Amino acid sequence: MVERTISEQAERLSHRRARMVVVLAIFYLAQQVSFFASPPGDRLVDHFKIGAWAVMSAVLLAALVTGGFWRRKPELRAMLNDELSRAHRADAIATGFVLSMLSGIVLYVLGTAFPMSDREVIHLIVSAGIGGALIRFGMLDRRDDRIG
Amino acid sequence: MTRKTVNTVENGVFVPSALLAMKLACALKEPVEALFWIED
Repeated sequence: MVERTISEQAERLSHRRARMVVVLAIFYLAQQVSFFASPPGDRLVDHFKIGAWAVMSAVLLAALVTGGFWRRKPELRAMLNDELSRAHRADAIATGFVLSMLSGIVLYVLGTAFPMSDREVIHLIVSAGIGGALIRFGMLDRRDDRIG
Repeated sequence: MTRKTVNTVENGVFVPSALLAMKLACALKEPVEALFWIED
């Protein structure tokens, strides 16, 4: 195994992050399709689906807010969460907030014509926010990868 | 900071904070004004 410096490790992980975040966002949003295709009922597997979505949403949100890489060395984490990365995360979180608000407004209006359960509304608002934030962060990170 | 950050600063894509600008100037042994300026 080749010994890499902290800088080399950060470089490699940064490139990997740029590729993975967009894939993760697409996977996360695609899961929502299956949620709405077969809305959860009262079966054990439905409770598992709800729990899995909640855990995945919480983990993705935590990664966006804190920068992730929790199991890496502090020096490596600091490099991966440098000023540029923090600026991108802030931009992404702002984008996610706006998308959540817009979803809420649209669902509020649509709710008069298409009644939805509380769970479905919450699911849509949260998914729009987190999914949108991930896509925005991924786009910014990939753009910077291409510049470099 | 990563090489990616340095590249984005060099290409004008990212505007660093004053602290980061001073750190860069310190590392390159140049005054900050030699690295960053406002175009008229």
